[in-house]
Amino acid sequence: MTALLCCGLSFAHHGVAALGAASLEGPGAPLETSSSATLPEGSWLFYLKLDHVKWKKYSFQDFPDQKSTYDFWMYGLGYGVKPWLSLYLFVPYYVKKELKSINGDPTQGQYSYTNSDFADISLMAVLGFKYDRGFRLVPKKESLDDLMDWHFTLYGGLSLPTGNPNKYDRARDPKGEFEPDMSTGFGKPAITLGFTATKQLVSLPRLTFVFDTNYIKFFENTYNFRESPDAPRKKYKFGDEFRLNTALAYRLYTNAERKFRADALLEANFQYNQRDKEDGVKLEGSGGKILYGVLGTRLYYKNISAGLGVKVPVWKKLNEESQQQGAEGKEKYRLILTLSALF
Amino acid sequence: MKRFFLPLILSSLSMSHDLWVEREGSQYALYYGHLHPVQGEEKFIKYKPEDVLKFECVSSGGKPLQYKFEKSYPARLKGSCGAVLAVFSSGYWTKSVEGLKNLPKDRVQGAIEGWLSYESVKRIDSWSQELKKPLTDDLEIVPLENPLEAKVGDKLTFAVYYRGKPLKDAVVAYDEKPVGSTDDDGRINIRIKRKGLQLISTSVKEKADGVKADYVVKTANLSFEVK
Repeated sequence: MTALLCCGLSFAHHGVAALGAASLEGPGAPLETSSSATLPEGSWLFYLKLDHVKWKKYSFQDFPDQKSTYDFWMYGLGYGVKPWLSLYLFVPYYVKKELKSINGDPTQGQYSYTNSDFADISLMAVLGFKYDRGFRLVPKKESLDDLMDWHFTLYGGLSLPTGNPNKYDRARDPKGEFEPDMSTGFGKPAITLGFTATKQLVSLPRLTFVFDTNYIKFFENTYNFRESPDAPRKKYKFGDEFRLNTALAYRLYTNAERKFRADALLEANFQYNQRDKEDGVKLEGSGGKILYGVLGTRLYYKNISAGLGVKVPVWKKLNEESQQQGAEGKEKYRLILTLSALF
Repeated sequence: MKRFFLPLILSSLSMSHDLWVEREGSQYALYYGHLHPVQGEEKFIKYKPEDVLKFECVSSGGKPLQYKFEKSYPARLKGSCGAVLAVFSSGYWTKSVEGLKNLPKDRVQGAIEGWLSYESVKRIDSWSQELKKPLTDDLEIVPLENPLEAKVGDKLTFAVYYRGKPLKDAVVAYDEKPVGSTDDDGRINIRIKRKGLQLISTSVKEKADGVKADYVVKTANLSFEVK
């Protein structure tokens, strides 16, 4: 088993669309790395993200059951309580597809098992501050020159177990098969803490550097599943996740009349996943370290921002790589699409 | 990301030309045109001497000083000034179906809209704390720290005043390029990007009589040298 529910908890509050000239000339925003942008006081952000994951597949003789594709949809709503405090609500919807061998025998062919549903909703608070002749909270108004200062955020989030962790594939076994990584809920809240830093270069204002690190803490959940009627209920804990992301956003083109801007994005996202635990025992075939590369673009039009990118693992050291089909690091690619609008 | 909108007035009307004061020996000369012309633009645009409504010399403490004002093109002022102030008006402008005309709206056929233009410039040559306050009751930009000690890359805070009070949401431009709008206290931060004569501008638009002009556009410039 591997921890695969990542994207619901990475609180992608980045990619904020902007208003006015700041969007045309202000700092850029990557796709996966959270920028230090906060929402203007009193404004609303509507956010949509798709993270489409295509897993590498292998011989069904070696892997009778294989993850096929995951679609992590994320619907988000943000509000600028203060210029330095933004609150977000995220509602994820997951579609997870797996190809499984009939009766566990690859020679009999495969069937597709899909689990799709709304997943655990999450809440997040972002505190923005900056360095401008001393540290201070992000003010209500900033000039284009102010936006070139170092900006930072501290963010914290909590997911609530609104998804269903107890849906099982019963095609081969009437009591179901225990696959927590195919579920759409964790069963328990998870906590995220993170920090971002953003700098638009004074000497080269077209270029913005973004740094983001975060930690996600999962808690053990007791599932409804029992191996046999008199066996205890299964316990499972996903391994905690640590991320360290950096990104460069380069402003390629602006058209002030049409209020349009296009950026090129390049990201390096490091991720460390702890081993999962089943019934308190560390699980083989889980966890590891991955370095992803992301190449993408972000387009701005008036108060709307759209992002598109491809994310691939460029380096990995998984704990038992040969057993980890469908684990993070074993993607063929991830296609990322975002759309946000600020009102 | 956010924070300000750019009123069209800034780019289409009042900021299309600069008003600045050059120091030439012991004299000051008032120029109109483009301080930093780009291809196709003239640096100096000749104006009528009567377009200069005021050209005054004050001490760094803001007190009036003796000076000699020569009403010519360019207008010249001779004096030992801490700061100089000039007010200029190119008069009425009307946009019509036949283009832009330097006439009141009621004298243009096919008039679309018209405005009356006033521009002012304040050049600072020596510093005192008194210059943190406006010298007039009209639209004015004041530096909140000594701009004459600034170096390239430094960020300075300025405030915009109108009728003696801080003006919020005023769009401010540096070298003709809008950089943001003022906060609730009329303040804005600007980073010095080059040596030489600096020009910081803002403008307001007010309703006029509707006969000769639909509105009055007032533009204020602040100028100082960075070595």
